[in-house]
Amino acid sequence: MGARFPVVLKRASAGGWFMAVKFFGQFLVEQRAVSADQILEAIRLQETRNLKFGDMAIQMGLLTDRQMETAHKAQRREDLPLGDMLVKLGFLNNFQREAIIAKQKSQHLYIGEALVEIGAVDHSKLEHYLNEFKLDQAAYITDDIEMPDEVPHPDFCRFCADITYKLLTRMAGVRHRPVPAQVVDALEGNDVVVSMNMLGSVNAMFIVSVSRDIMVAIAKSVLEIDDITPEPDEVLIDTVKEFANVVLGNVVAKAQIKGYKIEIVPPELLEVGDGLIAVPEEMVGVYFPVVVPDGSRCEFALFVAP
Amino acid sequence: MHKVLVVDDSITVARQLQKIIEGSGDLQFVGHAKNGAEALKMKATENPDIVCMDMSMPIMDGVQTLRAMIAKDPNAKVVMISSLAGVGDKFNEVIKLGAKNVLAKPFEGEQVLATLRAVLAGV
Repeated sequence: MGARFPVVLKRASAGGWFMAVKFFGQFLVEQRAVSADQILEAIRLQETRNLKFGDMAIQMGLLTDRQMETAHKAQRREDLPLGDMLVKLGFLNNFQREAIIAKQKSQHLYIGEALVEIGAVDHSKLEHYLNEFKLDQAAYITDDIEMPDEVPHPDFCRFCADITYKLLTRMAGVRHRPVPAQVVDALEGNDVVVSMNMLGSVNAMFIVSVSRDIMVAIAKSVLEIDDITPEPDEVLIDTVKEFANVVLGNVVAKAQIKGYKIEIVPPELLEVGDGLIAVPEEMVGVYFPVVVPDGSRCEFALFVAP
Repeated sequence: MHKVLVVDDSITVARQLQKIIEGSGDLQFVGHAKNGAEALKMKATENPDIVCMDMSMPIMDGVQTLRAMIAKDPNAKVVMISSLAGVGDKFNEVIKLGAKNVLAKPFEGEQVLATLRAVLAGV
């Protein structure tokens, strides 16, 4: 047996590991390349150019205001994207729907281009900042993580696992080795179990389950203190909740870039003790534990609806 | 010294920011409000130069509170905090409402200070 406590990595220096998934405009403001007011002006320009699906269809003469209103009413009864609903109602055919999407894509004005257009930044500087931005975000590019075949939304689960592993090292300072993900019906209880729900393109529950020594390691790293003795359990547990919150915030930000729309619900402490956490019948339980140096328990899971 | 008010329901985030602010030398931590209602009261009593506020909180969330704060003081300097900072829609929404920037979590101390100083300097 090794040391009782997991190895806590030294915190990284400025600009090193403590990066987060960001929006390009936010990165530019941080770099002082543009001001918040210029971002605002660029956003307004984007809004005049980047038409929503229905507005683009009307502008292309493929849809009337009345038909769009009918489709919006129908969406209250059936959860379908507008394009699919318009096809279902017979107002558009598949070819027209694809043509509208293609036109939206070809006319899309990105924030960087909008900033150039309003004169906030020139082309060469924009290219420079884009490269810097890519470097800043490179830490969030997903490596190959295998997911069992029966896992729904495998891409989403893959980058959820990837960001969890990365932030476990970078934010919580816990050195670990991932174990391949597996499908389970239930999880064993643990000293501290925190859950967070996600709703939207993916409906799922994210679970962070840690033994007390891992919670202590997370608290020491997150609060940057060596002695946690004076800290009440409430504070230590809050650091695990905050870890889960930051992980999912970054997952959702990355998911949006990939086209997902997801809302997250604040973390909750699950009082499970030695009991089991059963995966709800209509969901698939994806379990991705990590091995920590001293054999403590640090486990993650996603209960995902198909 | 510029006075900073932190608004976040998480004890962890408040403690992290307090430590960063107190170690800065030019910024003063004047208090921690746990929700939007408390934040509006403390904004009036503590008169901070800048407010760091979480986007999602119970009772009155960050976006609602930002709207109320800006309505009362259009020159208020507010930087939002979010693990969702990378979500473009959220970023656009709060910038339009008058926030000066968004701090992404996890934090990096120097970046937090650089952002707060830039906003205070009106950059």
